[in-house]
Amino acid sequence: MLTRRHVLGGFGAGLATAAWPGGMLVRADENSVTITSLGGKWEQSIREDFIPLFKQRTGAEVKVVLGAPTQWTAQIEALPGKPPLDAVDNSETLAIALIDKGLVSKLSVDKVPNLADIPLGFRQPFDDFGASYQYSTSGIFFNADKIKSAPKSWAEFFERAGKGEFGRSITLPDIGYAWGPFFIWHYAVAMGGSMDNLDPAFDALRKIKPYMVKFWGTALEVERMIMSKEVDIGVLWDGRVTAMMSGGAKFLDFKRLAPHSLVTLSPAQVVKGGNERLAYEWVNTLLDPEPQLKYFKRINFAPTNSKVQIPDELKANIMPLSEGITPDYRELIRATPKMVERWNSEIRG
Amino acid sequence: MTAACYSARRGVTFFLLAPVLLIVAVGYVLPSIALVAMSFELPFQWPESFATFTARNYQKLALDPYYLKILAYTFALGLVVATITAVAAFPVAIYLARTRGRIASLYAVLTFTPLAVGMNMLTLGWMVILGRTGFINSLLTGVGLISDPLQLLYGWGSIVIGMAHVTFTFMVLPLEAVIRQIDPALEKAARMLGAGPVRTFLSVTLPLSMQGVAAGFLIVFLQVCGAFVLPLLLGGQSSSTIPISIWEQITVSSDRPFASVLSVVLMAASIVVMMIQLRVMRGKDLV
Repeated sequence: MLTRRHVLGGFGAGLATAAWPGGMLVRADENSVTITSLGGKWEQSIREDFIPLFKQRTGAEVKVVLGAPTQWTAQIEALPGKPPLDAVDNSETLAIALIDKGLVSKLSVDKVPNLADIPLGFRQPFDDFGASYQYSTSGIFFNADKIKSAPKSWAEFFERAGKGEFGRSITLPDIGYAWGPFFIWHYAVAMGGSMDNLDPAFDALRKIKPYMVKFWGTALEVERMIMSKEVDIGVLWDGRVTAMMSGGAKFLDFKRLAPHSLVTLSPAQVVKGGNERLAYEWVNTLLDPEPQLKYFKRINFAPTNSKVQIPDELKANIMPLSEGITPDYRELIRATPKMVERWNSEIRG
Repeated sequence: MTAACYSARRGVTFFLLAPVLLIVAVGYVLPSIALVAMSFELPFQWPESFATFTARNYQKLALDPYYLKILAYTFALGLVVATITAVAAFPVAIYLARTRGRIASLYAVLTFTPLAVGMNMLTLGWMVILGRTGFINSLLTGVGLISDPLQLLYGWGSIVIGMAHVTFTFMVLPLEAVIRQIDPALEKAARMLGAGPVRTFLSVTLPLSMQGVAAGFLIVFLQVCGAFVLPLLLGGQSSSTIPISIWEQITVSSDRPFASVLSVVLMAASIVVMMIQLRVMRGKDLV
């Protein structure tokens, strides 16, 4: 006879199964690898530029998990040792978080031969626990029909914007954008500050606040504001802007400002406890010159393999890594909570 | 009925309820417990984890004027949008409840389109309408009423408009269901006794439909307080809400305990509002 006790017993067993680490986990089989990708054209490039080469070399299947680095990092942290992902395409600070928690494996040339052709600047920030397969640099986009004389330096940009020269038509990254703290640090450094002295950045931001249309929270949001001409000038990554320009936005132009541009990296990492054999192969594919060139042509984010042969007409779109600047990621992680508090009181308050 | 028969019947009842209970437990209760544990910086590993217990994240929330302001703004936004939708939905609900025919059917379809289109598409639609080069600014500059485009987007106003549109159907549905149950003879009697249309509405229709208002108010309030995409895209730098702050704490500050505190507070506020509504509705039929 079916009683309440039977039902509750079964119910409890179900809960226990669900709660048990790995209890509901479906592990990837030996000949497949689970990797990550952003959506849209990024996913298209992963599927069309990278996966065919990977399959050709390994004969293995690839499962793509769409999302964003925050989600993937949380998934890896939730199940240490039995991760639902084998390789992850991460942001810089989240990559450091995984490294510091011991959740990713070190890359080496014997396991990832293409690592030998990746300049140290794309590997050293992650102590070889990740290697960037692409990079992008910051600068200003502007409506060239309206702004005939673009600023040449960050200081000039903030000074002219703060005086209202561009009108209320400016947009900058919000603190809520995953790379928002990177930009604040960079504004400060470009105008004489440092990680411990962010005053130049916050002073400049307060001055231009009345002329802001909006601080943008996602790259898609700023792209929409640019294309609908709600903003005339602002800060964005080069690859995003050049993609819009080559896509038909004739009014748009991009300029990198002195003294330097902020560089963003995308470290590919092998997750400990996953299918590490194929994950290394996948990272090797991400670092391969052939798909990296295809990726660059499609996405406009610069390749990192030194053997990539950039067509002459596209060389001007790429800034050498040596001309850019990156923060000390651990220092940035340490400084970010205070940065958020200051933003909330001084910019939003 | 024998004891054995009664016991078997209870067993079947539990058996039928088991899938729902399992879904609620796995999908809601367990994550909620994990959320509360994380807000106190407990790693959710019984039992050794209590050593890390701290209430400092709740203290931070209580002492930081910025987050208190965000809490107040979020709940105020919920109240304002729920009030606006209630006022706007009443005529539509009365019309739908009391009218038959093709036009009424068409009106019903139009009322339900926000559900079919979805919040994200409606948000994009409002961005097109309210943008600097959008429909309203183009119209106003076109007829010469303004020379420079108005800043209609990226503030509380655009969030209220967008949320009111998105949640409108959720107010109309319970209202229409309740009004349909009101005997039209009661309103006719009031009119025959000399009450005008406004007094009839205030003295008869409104009091009898308060359960629909309460149900709609609750749904809209909770939807607005928990909305993320629309306030993020239609709001500006001074119009942050709790869900946006939660997102920032996770993606930027990597401060999951504090994000959990904000989530717990939002969840607790929702439960309190629901309990108030249940208390108000106790002993009364919803329709």
